[in-house]
Amino acid sequence: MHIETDVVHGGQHPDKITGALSPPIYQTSTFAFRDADHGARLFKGEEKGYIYTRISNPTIDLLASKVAYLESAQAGLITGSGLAAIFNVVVATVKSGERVVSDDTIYGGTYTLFNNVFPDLGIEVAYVDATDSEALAAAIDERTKLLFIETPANPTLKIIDIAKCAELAHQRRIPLCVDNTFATPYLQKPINLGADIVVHSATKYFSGHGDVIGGVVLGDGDFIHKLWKKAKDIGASISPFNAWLVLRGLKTLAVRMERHCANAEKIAQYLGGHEKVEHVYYPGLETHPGYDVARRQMNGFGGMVGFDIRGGKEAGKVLMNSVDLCTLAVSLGDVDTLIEHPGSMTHCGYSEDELLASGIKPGFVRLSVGLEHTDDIIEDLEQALKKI
Amino acid sequence: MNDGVQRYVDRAKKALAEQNRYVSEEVKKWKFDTIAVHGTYSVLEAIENNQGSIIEPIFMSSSQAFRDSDEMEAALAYLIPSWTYSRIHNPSIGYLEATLALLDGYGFDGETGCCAVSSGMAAIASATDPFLVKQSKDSQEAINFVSNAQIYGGTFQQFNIRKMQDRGIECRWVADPTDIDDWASKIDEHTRFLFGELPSNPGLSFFDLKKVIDLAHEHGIPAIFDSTIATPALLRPIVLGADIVIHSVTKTLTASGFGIAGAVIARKNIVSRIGSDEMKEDFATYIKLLPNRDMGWCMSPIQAILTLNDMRTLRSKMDLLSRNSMKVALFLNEHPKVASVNYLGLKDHPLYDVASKYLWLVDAEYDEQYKKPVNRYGHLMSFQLKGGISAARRFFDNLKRIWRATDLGRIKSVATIPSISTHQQMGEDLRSMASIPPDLIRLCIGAEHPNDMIADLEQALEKT
Repeated sequence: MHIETDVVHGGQHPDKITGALSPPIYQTSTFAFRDADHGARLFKGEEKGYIYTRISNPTIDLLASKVAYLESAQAGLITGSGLAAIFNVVVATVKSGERVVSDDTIYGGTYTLFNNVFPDLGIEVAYVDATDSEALAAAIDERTKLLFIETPANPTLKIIDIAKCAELAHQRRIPLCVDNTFATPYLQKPINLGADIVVHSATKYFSGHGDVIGGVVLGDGDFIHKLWKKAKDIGASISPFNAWLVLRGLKTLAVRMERHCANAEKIAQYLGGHEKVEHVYYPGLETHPGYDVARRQMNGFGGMVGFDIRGGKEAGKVLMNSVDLCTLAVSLGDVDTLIEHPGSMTHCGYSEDELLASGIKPGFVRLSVGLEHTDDIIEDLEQALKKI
Repeated sequence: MNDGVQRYVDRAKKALAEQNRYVSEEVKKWKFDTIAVHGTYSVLEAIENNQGSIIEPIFMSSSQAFRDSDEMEAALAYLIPSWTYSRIHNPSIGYLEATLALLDGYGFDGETGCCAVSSGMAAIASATDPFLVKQSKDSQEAINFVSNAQIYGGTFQQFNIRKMQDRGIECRWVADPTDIDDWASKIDEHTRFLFGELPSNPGLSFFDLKKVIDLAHEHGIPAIFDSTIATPALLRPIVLGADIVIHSVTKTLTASGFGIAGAVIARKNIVSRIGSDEMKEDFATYIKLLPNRDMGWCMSPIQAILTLNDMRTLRSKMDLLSRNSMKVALFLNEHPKVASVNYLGLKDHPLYDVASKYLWLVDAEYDEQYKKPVNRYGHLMSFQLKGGISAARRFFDNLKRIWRATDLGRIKSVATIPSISTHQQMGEDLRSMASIPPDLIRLCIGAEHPNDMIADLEQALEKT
């Protein structure tokens, strides 16, 4: 089947009892047992069934099987957020005293999780430029149990060759985990490129409407089972209502992504020709260093565009205060165009040197291109850029 | 009917018989609180059909899929219980309807049915319009109905404008509903039903509803009551013989304030001079499957479960809100700046005796803290200040914690001035007929500690 059909029907069927086309929301904390033996069998795992929503829930399970289907994975686990998904993956694969090797360009929240939480658990995270094969090979030592990458990466849209990373990881007998939030299975399926584990922030393109916080982990059946056994004790579960909203959002994933990509491409071209823009980061531009890899491993280039404006941090601030249609907000993948200036917003505590060290120029702006008409988005950017 | 359709009908009959057995042999034997908590959602149904979920699932689906053409045919011909499309019915809405039917029929030895709708106004239209049809296409009869004049402004509007002005159906107002002769004098051979709201909003009108029911039945017409303010925790008109009860489910039944909803509850075999046997036999199902299917004022399935969740604590909530209101009413009644307080629980209220005859907290005799029947008068009161409208507005504007809003029946206390809000559209003359003076303040007390509400009222009164 084509992805357009899969997002609508894949992994789903009408409710067996009531025939409801849209799945019921099991907004319940707990489930009834037929009798004591039934309960005992469920707890021992001798019979499939439901006990308690932190452990599993029919609405949440349906989302897991749907996302697994879309990502060509054997199984999936849904978590309360994208960070909870990553946390669960790391604690299921890496023990105290061991380490994770991660690409150096990752979402700031992931970076904070890696630096602030894992050291306390005795888990070390080493950063490397994963596009540099030699450096990557050198970084993976005996203690390394997981290779983690994000592609396209947040916020600079760095592209990493998934197949190459998978090959290297497998030579060293460690799994490769890819954060596929930016691309979604509409644009790339990391498992088909050799990745072992895929994580998502379902908050972004999966839900698509900015109304949910949620996360997803995908992998082979044994791994997901192992992960689930830990996850139920960790407790980072999602609400059944949120799972249902993601299920609803997924149905339009293909049509939204198609438009996000088309809009972003137009915006990238527009910004590339603007005198006040120094540089545009978009994997669909031939000037982008990851252009060839992106063409090979993706079916399109996504809805995220980054750009450096002339005038640095101050110019960034003026732009932020001048846009009207574009909304100043973190998060991404919504139907609305969201604009973010790390220098004055998420990273305002950083000095210019610190910003540069993390690969973010002071005038760097990130745009999550929405589904509005591109003429309207461009008109808004144009009037705002004029004020700089 | 082909064999395939017949098979579905037979299977459905078996399931329906089991459900009816469960309701009549088990659920109907429970106390009010147990029915409010569980309704008809059985352990068996949870395990067999709903993965064991102890909470009724939210079927947020517009349509039902069918196994084959036979099942579809049986369903759409209404031969089997099914739901087809959420404008017509939906499993989640079904849970709410079953519970409400049982609560309003608590203590009634016959059967009741319920049809949930999108709002209280839709409930009023659903309950009344089927009686307001011409008996033949060329009929020249001047259709009328009789209602007490003290009713919610929205209902007044629906009766006065939508029915009278737009459709030529006469609403005959009873200005003093305690005068049974006034009701009787308004009935003729073209009267289709008697309608009463009690306690009424905001004037707290009350009357001997048993007398009004008997009067209606003497004339072969149904008695319809808006029981929104009392809720089945304090008053169940069907038990007293009424034919139909309507609720703005938005109010105390959904005390959390999560949405807009309505419901029509009817006894089986209502009294009516007009309408088909099918309509009279099971009015709630009739309006659900026929007129309401065509009108489309359906409820959202998520609303049904939100409301169901609120209703689980209805009895204890109505007890608490009533006790808090009584304390606040007594405070206002003693305050030097207050000219008059209209709360049915105050002994000096002219309708205290008749209200006390009917407003009882359900199952108080089984409640360990009371062990005997106790009167409860609800959460609605209204009052006037000595300083007239300007004092009323100053007082209103100075409320700090009590919300200024057109709302009632909330877990949160809310006040409004009806003449500029809920009853504004009636105009002054009609407001005067409905006993709503311009400076009347309506107050609904919530579940906060009553002393905190009194403190807020006190400081606002000081500023008038």
